[in-house]
Amino acid sequence: MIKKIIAVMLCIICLSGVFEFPVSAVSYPEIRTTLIDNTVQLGSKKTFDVWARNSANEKIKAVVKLNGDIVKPVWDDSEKSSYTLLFTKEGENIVTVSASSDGGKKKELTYHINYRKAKPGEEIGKAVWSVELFTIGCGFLVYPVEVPIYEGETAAEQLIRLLNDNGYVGYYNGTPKSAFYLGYIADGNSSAETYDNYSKSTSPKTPKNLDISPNIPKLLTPYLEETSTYFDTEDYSKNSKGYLGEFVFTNGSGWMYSVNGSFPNVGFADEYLSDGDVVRVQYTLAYGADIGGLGALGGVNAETENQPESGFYTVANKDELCIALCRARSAGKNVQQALSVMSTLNASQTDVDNAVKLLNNASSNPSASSSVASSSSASTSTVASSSSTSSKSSSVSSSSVTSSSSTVASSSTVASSNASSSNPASSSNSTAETVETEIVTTADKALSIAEGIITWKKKDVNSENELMNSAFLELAGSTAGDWYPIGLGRLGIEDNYSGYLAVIEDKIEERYKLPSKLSSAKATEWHRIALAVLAAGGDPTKIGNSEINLIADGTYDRGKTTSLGRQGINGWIWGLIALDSKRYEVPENAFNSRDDIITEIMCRQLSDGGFALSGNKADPDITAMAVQALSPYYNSEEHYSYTQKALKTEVTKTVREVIDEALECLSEMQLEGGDFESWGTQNVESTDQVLTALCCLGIDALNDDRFIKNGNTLLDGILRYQINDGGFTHSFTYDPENPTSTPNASNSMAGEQTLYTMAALWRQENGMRTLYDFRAEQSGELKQRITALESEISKLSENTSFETLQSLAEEYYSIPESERSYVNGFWKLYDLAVSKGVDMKKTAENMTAIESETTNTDNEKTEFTESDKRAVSALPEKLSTEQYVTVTALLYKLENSNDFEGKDEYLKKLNSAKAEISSVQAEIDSLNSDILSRLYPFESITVFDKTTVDEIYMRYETLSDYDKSKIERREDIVKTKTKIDNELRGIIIAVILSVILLITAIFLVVRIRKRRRRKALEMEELAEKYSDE
Amino acid sequence: MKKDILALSVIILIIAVIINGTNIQSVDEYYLTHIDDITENSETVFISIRCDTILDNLENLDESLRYDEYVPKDGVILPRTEYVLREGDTVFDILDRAVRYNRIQMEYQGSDQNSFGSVYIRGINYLYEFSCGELSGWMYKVDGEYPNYGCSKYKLKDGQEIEWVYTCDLGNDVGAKWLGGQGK
Repeated sequence: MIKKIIAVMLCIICLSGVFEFPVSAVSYPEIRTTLIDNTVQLGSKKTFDVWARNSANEKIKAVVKLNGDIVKPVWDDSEKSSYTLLFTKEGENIVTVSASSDGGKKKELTYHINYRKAKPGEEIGKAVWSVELFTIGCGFLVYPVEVPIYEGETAAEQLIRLLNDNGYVGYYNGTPKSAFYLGYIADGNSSAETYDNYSKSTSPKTPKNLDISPNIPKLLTPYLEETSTYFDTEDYSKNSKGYLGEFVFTNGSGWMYSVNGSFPNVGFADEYLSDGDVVRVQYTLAYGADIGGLGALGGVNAETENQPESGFYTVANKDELCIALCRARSAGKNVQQALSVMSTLNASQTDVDNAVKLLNNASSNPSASSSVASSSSASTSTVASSSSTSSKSSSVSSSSVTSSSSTVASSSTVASSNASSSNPASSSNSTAETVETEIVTTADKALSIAEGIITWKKKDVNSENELMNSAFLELAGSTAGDWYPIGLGRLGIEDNYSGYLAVIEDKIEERYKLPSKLSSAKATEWHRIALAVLAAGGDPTKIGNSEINLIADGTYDRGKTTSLGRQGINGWIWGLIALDSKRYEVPENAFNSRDDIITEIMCRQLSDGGFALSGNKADPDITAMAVQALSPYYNSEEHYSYTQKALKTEVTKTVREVIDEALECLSEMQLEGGDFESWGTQNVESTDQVLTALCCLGIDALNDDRFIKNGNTLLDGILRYQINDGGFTHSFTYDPENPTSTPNASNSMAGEQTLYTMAALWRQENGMRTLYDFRAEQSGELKQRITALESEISKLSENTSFETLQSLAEEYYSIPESERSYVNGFWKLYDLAVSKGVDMKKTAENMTAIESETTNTDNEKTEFTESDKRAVSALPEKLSTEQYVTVTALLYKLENSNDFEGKDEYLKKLNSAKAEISSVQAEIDSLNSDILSRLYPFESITVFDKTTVDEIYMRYETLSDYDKSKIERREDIVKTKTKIDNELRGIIIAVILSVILLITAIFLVVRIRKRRRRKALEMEELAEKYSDE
Repeated sequence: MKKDILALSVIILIIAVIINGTNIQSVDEYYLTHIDDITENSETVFISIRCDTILDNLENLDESLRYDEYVPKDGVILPRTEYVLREGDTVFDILDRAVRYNRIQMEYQGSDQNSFGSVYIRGINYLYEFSCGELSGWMYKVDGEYPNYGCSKYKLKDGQEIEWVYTCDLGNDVGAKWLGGQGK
């Protein structure tokens, strides 16, 4: 912090050297500002700088007025003053800047600024941002990119957004709204909440490591050795790996930023940007002296005294070059030379200007732009990343592209961008720009649609942080619980995957205790769960302690229990998808071979080319799913012979023929709105399935004429069903008889299918593996080979020579067989090669596939953190099934964690908690079945069942409230109990009454008898009396 | 003496009446225990459960299910029965009550367990989906129509007629025109 102030002070010295004002006899003051007259202002805030000088070149006080009201400076030093204008009045605003010199001469500048009001959060323009590491020889950390400016957003907030979008986190002082100071930029998955007393920014969705190998330019070394009190070139790799910021390498290092060429003396949080601003965030090793920004760090200070006043050397203004680089990227231009100028710290302004001119006039790369026009999917990534490729081939390392999968995308494209020629093409700039926005938006659009769904779903399950909270995880192992993890996982979005794995593995083990295991008839239970386990980062072939193999049990060996197709074609389709999720090998002694499953799907093709659950008319969902399953075999030359059930004839076909027919059928079924209809209802899920299928095939679905109807793409078709809350509705056709088809309510199934469809699209756009291909991503080298081959194939024509075709065929067969499905356009090559007499079979046999190394993803042990320990202590005394998810997840984490003192204690505690919960669950199950078998029918329950009913009631009452809710028809327990109690009460009352009556009766009888006896006695006495008389 | 006997017998008679008839209940308790009694004023619905279609497709039926106790000879698992319609009752509520009261086995998937947001009936009387071929399962109709949504979402009205039928051909064999299953 101190350094910042110091440095800002130093600015004065620097600038006083740069700006020299003529001393004239008439001593009018000199005023200079960064405002521009007659401009349109969209944001409500605008920060600008004012330099005011008298004839002696001393700073004098300036007065800034907005529509007559004085504006106070937000920063004032001996060099310049910064002001933030706050616009409230729409239309023309007048800003005056005036200053008076000693002699009473006054000068006033007037600016007319037309303010158009924007809503909070509305986009008010775009700024070009870059994050640069040229001082340590690492090029751009963030390649120049246009970033939208939102109303009310400070530069600090934009910076954090930019870092997050690129996979990094920042560590800062203050807040993004005030007194913000960036201390470090760090690895995206950096977990430390604070670093060196700086607090951590928000985390990126797709974290990336700060993968740099610093190599400080030779130019700087002597300066640094002379001026620094501390200087160590190995400091980063030795002491600070993953954290780049202040005091690394030297005592004068840190992050600085310039806006439109000047280094502001206000912090990031006080800077409000406007459209067209250029913001360069640069890493300095010497308080800015190495990047032309010495002044910006402040005034004279002991620490900076060693630095030369005007910096080490003159630094040119490279803003225009940044803009040019940003634009060139989209146009696929060769930026190599420009980058080398960019990386030359002391490049002259002339060199810089020439580089800008060269770049702006250069034609775009023909192969890149043509590949956009053609609809091959792999080429889309080519364009997005071509600039970064060149940066790689120059001395600058390329950790630059904005997309999170940049390393993947960029490496595939060297061939195309280096092949750029210099055709004069004046229009290339504008077309290139539109192309770029389109490309950026498809991946971004898919991601933002997915985010909308997740937001909606989180609300649906009442979660503020992760979607997979306890309530959600209870559903693990069911359709509603498994598809969201698949979608999230394939989008690389962080969530509670370990919690999901813990619960699903436990549930699988429980369900495996039943004779039917996961299901008696539905093999798709195995398939869905296996895919979800993979998406969460688990291994479906080794579930739990018993190492259950879902792939074997659910696919090739399913037939040992019951047919994989017991539930129909769905079983075969999803079986193949699950089997190919990691291209699992099928053992010799398996019940079904891979080809069996493929044939079982193909033989169910209908006469119209599509597929359906039943009947003879294609259903879009099933047809699309069949295509998804068969897609890895599209390039397979294997001919399959089988009896096509619908035609009852023997046919021989390749998978490619079947898929092409199915695609044609799907294309015909697509409606004018871009969507589909299934079972009589226009709906989003069918459209989702078709888009997913095309993405699996590597088809550029949104630019493929076959799937654009009336100008509407599949994505347009899907978006018709989007609801304001971010979710999706099943169908918008309203049916009064059918409340679930309400067109304005989001629906879980529509949401989950659209979510993973967006994942499929996003992955394709980023050059990643397809949605259901869970193998490690292809190596950059392999991608490069495939892209190069595809580009060669796209150039093929009737006139291509035998030799070329032969060599391309060889290149194709040198790609490992399991990766050949990623080569688009193979059949074009095949057909041409065969027509020219290339013996494909022999070529294939003669070639040995060149395997490429795969990246190993080792399962690292995790820490059982303090908060996990606290969670264990926080468990209640009396456990209920409510704690099932928590306990299961904690136990899973503990078992996979590093050893620590007291681990055994925790293990014991959690294991006993788990056992207790299991016994509660067992009690719930047994109570449910006892209720079912003993409390019905209601009429036959009598007082004689009292012990039974009381026992059930008592068991029910001892359960916790949460567990009670798991008892089905609990009102019947109360009802029966009441009935019996009532009856019993009746009996007791009756008995008491009877006893009373009886006693009364006896009493009466006795009394009557007594009286009679007395009477008789009296009579006798009387009789005696009379007889005596 | 005769009077004594008369008095005693009168008392015994009263006791007998008391024992037989005493059932002192609060109003709430009365409603709770008599909620399912059909009276003149009560709203009611009818429900039946049948699996006739299996009789025509016995060759597809799981061998373990080829017994009269699972598939009755007349295909009737529950004959048309009248039940009182409670406030807010859905088709599922009535089915659940009917199978409980008649001790018929049933298995279902809770409404939170699937993406339809409705209860899904997997099996009744040990007859499950796919028990009789890949297109088999339980469907329901109300007043002769097949609603295309889940049974726990269908709220009933007075006098409605529910029929649960087993299909062996995605509804085509039981007159469902548009779709199989209990809702897409």
